[in-house]
Amino acid sequence: MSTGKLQAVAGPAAQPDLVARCQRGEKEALGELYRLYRSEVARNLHRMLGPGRGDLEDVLQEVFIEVFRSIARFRGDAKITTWLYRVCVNVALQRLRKRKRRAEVSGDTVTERVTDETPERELDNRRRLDAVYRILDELSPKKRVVFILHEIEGREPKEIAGIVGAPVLTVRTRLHYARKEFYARAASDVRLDGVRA
Amino acid sequence: MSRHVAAHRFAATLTAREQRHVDGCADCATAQTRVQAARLGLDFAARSEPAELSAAAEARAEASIRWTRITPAVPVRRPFVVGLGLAAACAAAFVVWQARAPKRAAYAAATPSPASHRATLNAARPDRLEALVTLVGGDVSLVRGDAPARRLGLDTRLGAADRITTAGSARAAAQWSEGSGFLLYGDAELTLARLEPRTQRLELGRGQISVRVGPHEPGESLHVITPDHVVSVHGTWFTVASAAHTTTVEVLEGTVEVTERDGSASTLLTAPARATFGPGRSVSAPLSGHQAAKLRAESEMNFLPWTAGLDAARSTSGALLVASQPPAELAVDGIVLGSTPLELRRPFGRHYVELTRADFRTQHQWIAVGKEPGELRASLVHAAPVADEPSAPVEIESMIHRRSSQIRACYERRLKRDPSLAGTVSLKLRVGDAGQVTRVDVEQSTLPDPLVAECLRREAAGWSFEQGRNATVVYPFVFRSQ
Repeated sequence: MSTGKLQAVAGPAAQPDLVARCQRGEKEALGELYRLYRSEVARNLHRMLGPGRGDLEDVLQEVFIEVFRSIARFRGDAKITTWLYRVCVNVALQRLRKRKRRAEVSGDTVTERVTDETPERELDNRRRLDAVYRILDELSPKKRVVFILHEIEGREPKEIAGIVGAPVLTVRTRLHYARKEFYARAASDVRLDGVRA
Repeated sequence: MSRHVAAHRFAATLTAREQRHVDGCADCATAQTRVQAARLGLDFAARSEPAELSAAAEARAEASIRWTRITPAVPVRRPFVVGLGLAAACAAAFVVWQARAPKRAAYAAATPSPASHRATLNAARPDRLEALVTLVGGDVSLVRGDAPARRLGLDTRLGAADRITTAGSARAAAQWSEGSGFLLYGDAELTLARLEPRTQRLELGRGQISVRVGPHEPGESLHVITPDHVVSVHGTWFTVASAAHTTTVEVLEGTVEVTERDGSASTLLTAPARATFGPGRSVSAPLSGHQAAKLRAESEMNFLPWTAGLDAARSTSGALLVASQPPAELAVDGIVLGSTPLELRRPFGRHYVELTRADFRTQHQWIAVGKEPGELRASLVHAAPVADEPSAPVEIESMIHRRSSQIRACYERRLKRDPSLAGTVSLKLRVGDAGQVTRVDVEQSTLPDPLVAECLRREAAGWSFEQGRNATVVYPFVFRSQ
């Protein structure tokens, strides 16, 4: 099971010259970078945007287009995984803002992988997950991102500040108001009734 | 309830006093249960995994890599070094300018201006696209400029401003890049308003069009414009039908954006979905797996390999002409392309052609396509009538009753994977002269999981009836979870 954080992947990622080759514009290196990190990026986008929206692959492509375009400007001050995560969050934020502006018609409701849970348990989990993301949809994109990074991914405010490019104090404030809003909405959300704990 | 205890306090451990309050307050207890459910939801979100990435994601990544231009970063220099370098460059330029003063006029005449250099660069990249016709069936006409209408043929190269009109049961498909093109259905009119490498704009006057977009360059846009709506492509495969101020859009892959022509409203449609947009209102619903599969089969565009461009695609493919009496459904290399007569373009080589029509024997044949067109003109033969009449009704109900646990198991196995699984599977059973089942076909299935139908088919293939001979039985199995 994944911890939710972008991991430093063993093997090809350890090649110190992969980023340098990408920065020189070598297409094979870009392909290698994509294959190495696509699953982690997809997992993080999935958590950020919520399940069953059908646009995960679109956003994934947008993330990698942005990565390919701006990798030449990556200075190596942070780990490549942290930098990738920052791009991922920025693209997810853009997508969330776009969703807020437009009516969106979703196709399949649930498309995640099947787990080993019993059907009843699985159904409860999905209902809970659906309710949680519907509440998250009502938060502002900035609060949502900070909330997910902290509550779902377990990141510390200092780390979140590095990812979203905001002061730690701002992150703490956003987190406080996001938690307050989320739990207040959850407390009055009838969709969470009748789901077995 | 939030009057008594701030809801977000439930997220933390309550003090003994707070807990006593909650125990005595029904509203607070409900709120606490909901918050606990939300926390469990958050835990599940941390463990949930996205679906496996499709092969299309891989293709899109490859396209992104192919089209991404990486500008190497300029190394950072110290300001002092930069200043010194600039000063030296200015001094050198001044010296050179002084020395060459008399020759400046001649130099200016000989050196291309930046504008003309840009023009040269633009000339290297074509500013318009041409589309190759890949399939023509029935009466399809082309109007180009002021010239009179002429018949659209496989050799026609389509360009911007061309107008295509199809008669009642006709269809035509064309392709302009790898995996990108359209299929125009019968009784439709389409104008290729813009056909450029970065912008394609198709104006649908009436009728229905299916559009498929292959890997595209970032910033490349494709719009299908109906009299009332604009459909913009973010994704890959969709159909648009226009009639009497309504536009129906079915998305098979990716995402499209539908906007009113006056820009007053826009909707994002994500596959698989169908939506109808009328004046001031829209109705949308997801497409079932069965509907999406049917739609895919009906909107095949007979695309050609396009990696080396139109000329290469044209010079490595030839015409295949298929006609039959009576008209039948044509499949080439296993892909159903529509009803005969059809003219289509296929890569040079041998192709497996199949003609099917109900109550007629299926005809299949290998046809070679080369510089000379491959041609098949077939007369279909009626299928032989059933030899014997059934002696007695097939006792299907009692068989279903006897085998109910096996039938249920087929469904319940897959229900564990998808708790919302529900639908109907119709099996067509052919019973032989000894009561044994000689053939089982899945007539229709509305279940999104095809493994249930396959399991049923295998189960039914082993049945043998005591009553009923030489008969065909169609039986619908309805599955719904409790």
